[in-house]
Amino acid sequence: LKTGIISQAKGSAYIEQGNTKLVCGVYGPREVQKKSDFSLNGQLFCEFKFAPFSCQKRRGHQQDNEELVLSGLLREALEAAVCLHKFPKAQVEVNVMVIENDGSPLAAALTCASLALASASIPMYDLMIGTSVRQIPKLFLLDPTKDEEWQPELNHDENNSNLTVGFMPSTHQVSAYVHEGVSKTEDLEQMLKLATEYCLKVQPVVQLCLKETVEKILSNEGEKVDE
Amino acid sequence: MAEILLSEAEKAYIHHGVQDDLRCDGRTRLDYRPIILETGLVSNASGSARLRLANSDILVGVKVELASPLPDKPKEGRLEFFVDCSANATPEFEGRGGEDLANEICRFLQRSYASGDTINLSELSVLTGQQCWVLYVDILILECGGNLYDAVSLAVKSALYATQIPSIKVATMDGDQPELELSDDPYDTKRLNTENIPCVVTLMKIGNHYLVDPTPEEECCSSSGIVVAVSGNKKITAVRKIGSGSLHPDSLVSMLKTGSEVGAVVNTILMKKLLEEETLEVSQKVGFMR
Repeated sequence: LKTGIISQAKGSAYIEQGNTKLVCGVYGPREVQKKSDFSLNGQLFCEFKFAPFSCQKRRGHQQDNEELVLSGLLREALEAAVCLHKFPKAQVEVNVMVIENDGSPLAAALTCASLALASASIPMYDLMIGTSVRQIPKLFLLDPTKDEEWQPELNHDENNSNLTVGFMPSTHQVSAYVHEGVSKTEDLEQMLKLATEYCLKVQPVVQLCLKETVEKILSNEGEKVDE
Repeated sequence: MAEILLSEAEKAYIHHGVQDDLRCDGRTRLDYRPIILETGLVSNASGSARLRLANSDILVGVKVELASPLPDKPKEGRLEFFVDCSANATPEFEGRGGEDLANEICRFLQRSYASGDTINLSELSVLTGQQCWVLYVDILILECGGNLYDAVSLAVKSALYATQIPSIKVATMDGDQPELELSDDPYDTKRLNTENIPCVVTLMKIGNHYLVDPTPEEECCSSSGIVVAVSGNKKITAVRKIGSGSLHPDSLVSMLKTGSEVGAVVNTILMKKLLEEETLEVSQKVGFMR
């Protein structure tokens, strides 16, 4: 995890989860582009994009349908974490770019985006950590790579599924939950428990990164004052 | 959904009603609104269904066409979904407004049908590696009255149940080009096994309780919910959390359990009704007149 990777953005973060690499930039709060949309709460605009060279098959330049849906999921998850009432009439833009996709891009994006928002000093209720669980008959795999992820074309049998969860550890709330595949409810319950335990373990890492960011900002400002 | 303006008093009223298990229209938390379903409306389509769930009106048409299968799946046919939110449904859908919602519903349907348990795509194969049936499922949202996911999934399941795929025989191989013979008899068709096709259940959380089949006003009051696709044998094929609020893991799990039970019940009732409709001797289609 690393913050401050985009110098021009208000806040930014870079995450490497195994071979999955992605960058998130946060811009705002800015004035809302469409003046007609007055609202008492701030708005969040998310854009999720795979770089054309990130996956095994080349992806187009424009956002395709899958990316649009992922953007919507990311936005809904982040809206639960961000204090929208703190910036009325303003909008915050979150841009996620996947540089290399080796499994669980949405989970990594959730963690990275919340870290970027926090480093941009956007008021939030809690940090959000994303994780994904793969279910195969008799086993659960945490944080699968691309080869281990559930492919609808390959695995047709039962009890094969993929679950991505966005979890806020301090408030113990689930803000994103996406499941595909075939499972029983008991298995889903267990997968969710595994995911939440994992998020609680990852939380100190994210907090440490944020703490270092804040220390760096403070020491920079200290230097400026000295000059 | 349409712009619903609710006063604080109305929101409080809905909250209290949900707590007491008595919603604004007299239903309990787990009751559905009345559903009107009719299949076989569109004669040009191989299968069609119209479903009216209180104020939500969905029309689904299924067309079958021959095409070459995907290179990595030579023994299987394909199912392609397309959702169109008509501008008539609500003023927000004018122009390209409804595209986001249409896209979300489309992707969710694709994901819930993707696992092999739901529909047997190898039934759609005509000639391995060369020809297969592609089912184009086109969904038209004519009116939006809350709970679109459920209505769309039920309508699609009914349309697929009513779909008649012409029988095709492979005649002699003329060199490398096989000749496909379409049967002359328009009634010589085969049907798909739609037992395990998933039904979607939407559960919205209001206060400490969750409801099934929310009206637009209830959707406004709620901050979050889940959409669960349940297949015939109580298995869950896709789940998605909707709304901008967050859920506690325990409430999420209990919502999933309730969702799967409700989904199984809806599935059995729908299959029963579809069978009834088939055996019913009705010559005149009611269509949009009611």
